[in-house]
Amino acid sequence: MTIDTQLSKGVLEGCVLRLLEGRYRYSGEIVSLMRGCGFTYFSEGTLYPMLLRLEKAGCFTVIKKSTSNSPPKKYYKLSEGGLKKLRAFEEDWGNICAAMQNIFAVDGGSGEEEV
Amino acid sequence: MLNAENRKIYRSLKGEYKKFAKRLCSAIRVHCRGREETDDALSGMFGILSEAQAQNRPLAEVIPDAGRTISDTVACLPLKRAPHAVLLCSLVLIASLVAAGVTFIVSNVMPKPAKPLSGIIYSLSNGALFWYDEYGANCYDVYIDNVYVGQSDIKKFDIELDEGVYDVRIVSYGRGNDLPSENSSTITVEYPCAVGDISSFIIAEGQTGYGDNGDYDPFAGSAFDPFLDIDIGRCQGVSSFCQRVVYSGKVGFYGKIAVSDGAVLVGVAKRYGNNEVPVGDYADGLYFSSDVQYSFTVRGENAHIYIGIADFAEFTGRYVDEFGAGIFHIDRGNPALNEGAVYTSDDTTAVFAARDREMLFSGSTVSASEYAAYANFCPALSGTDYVLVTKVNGVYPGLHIVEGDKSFAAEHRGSLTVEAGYTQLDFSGLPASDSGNFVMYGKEAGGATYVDDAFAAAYFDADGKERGITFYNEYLVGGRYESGGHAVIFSAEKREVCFSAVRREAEYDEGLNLIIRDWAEALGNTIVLKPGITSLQLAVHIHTETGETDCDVVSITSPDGAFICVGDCRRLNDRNVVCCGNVYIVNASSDEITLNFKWLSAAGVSGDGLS
Repeated sequence: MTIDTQLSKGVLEGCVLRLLEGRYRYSGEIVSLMRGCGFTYFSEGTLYPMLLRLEKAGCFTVIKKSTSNSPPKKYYKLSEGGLKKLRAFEEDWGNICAAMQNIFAVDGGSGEEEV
Repeated sequence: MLNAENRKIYRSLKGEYKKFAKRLCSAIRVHCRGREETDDALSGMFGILSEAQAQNRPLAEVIPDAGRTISDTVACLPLKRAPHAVLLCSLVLIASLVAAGVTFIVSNVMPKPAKPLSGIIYSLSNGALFWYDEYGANCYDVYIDNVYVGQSDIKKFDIELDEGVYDVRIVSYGRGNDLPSENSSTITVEYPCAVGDISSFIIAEGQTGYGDNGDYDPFAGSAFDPFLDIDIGRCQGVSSFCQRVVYSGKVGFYGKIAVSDGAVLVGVAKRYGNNEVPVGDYADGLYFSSDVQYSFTVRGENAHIYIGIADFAEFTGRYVDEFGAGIFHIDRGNPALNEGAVYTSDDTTAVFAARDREMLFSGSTVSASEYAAYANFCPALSGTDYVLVTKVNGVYPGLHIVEGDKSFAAEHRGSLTVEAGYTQLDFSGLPASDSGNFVMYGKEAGGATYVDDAFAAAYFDADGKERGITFYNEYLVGGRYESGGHAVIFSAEKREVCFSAVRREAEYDEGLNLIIRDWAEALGNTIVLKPGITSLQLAVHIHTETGETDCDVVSITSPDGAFICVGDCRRLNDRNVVCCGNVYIVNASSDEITLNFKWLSAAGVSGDGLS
């Protein structure tokens, strides 16, 4: 499954917020989940500036974990602010879905153009 | 400058990952402010890059659009100057012009077209842009690649630029009739290369050298990688009390001077001809740049001086030269004040780069199982300048040459070159007239047993044949002392012995000979020390065919008690043991003095060696 990149741009942030609700994840994990869910073009290059921006906006609590043989990783989880942003996104997304359903429910005719 | 954590990660990146990291660093450095925030931002991205690299993923998969990622990242960070600074400046300008007359404002507020030639230059040594004055201008906005980077009240703007080509635009404001106006120019920032400069210390790509990454063990067989171990430029000097040294930075890199505990850096000055200008807050090390000669004075006995190039190299990813080399220089013009050394790394190998001479040190390949030879190189190139290599791995004062049969051609007057992959000292090009002045000096790192005397070295092959080393010294031919020199080469069946002799240069003349004959000839070999020789530096290296030889102690005695031996033994590996020490000759009045060597504990080898 592939998703048009332009179409999906607006929702990527909401997806990332959702993945970080209630648990810590690091960037590699987020990218894997996003790709597994169908955003196959999603990359760290897209994710990291987004994480940085959302972090600056106070959406995350961030911890660093070190391992013996690799550099420390940053783990992100939604903060209260992030949860509010996610709820707002969910509401917007619900509205968009409803609107889209309404659009698709409109009778498009038989294909014969009538003026 | 990267913080320690980021620097470490950056150093681990390679290839396209490193290039991207460098681009990101440069962009953040040019456009962003806030050390903590930028460090944090880089830390996150570097972590991602490191992980992806470890998974062998192509960068294009991780960062499909590098430019976009960089610009998005930069946009998340505070910019160096808020755009409203331009507006503020304009408002101030407008306010001042209003006072002068409204009609004037209307006719002059539009910027003029950029002038084709503006005289904008970038100074590497100052780390700043300079431009010509605009008459009446009192305010300049600076744009790089169409990005506002800051403002200046003078015709100079401090900014660090990596190598590259930049479009620079200067917008001038003030009371001049032609203001505001713009100057623009395309500048090329290029740091000079060290290759070919004199007094250079070079470890070539792919060859092994003594790195300074904190975990390098020359006997562990790990190789120096100039693209990873970019701290290699670090130097260490050993200072006597209140030592003054001069460093000439003739190439484009930034260095750092620091001193060890117990030493005080009492002064650092830039030198312009005979003039000195004190510089620097060197409490945390002084960073210095190209094209300036520095002198610094260290107060403290046996202090260590460190000169590093790490920061420049690590941050920009560009090395001083294509091999990752540093250039270090010490002024031996006044031996009384300059008794220290500049070392390539701590307590391993030390190098003096002599003035007006080229010195290439290409590193040595270390193989624990084949470790076979030592040599001490301490040539003095003239009466005051000299090159010193000393103290390898705390075992033996000398340059470590390995894997045996790399024959040194005899009669290498003025030039000793070891094949690629091995230690290389290249003094080619020395004028023949200098050959007679070459005298070797020896000094143990740390200064505790400093012997500022003439010096010699020897080398044996495992098969017992002499391999003739001639050290840019006409007196040493085929390892045999000839006409007043002092190199000794021993051979023994199934054994190797390496001796080095020390004597006072001042007492050097044709009548003062040190001869040590072939070990294998008899147990009656003698060392003949003519009167006046007051010290002997000794190293014994035992090597048996079975590989079982060990040697715990070497004792050196003489029948009349004329010798005092100070030394130790160290087991290098299963086959090789090195014992070294200094023999101080108490009674040097005799024309002939006998040395006794005795292995007190040696599996497979015992008994008197030389008597």
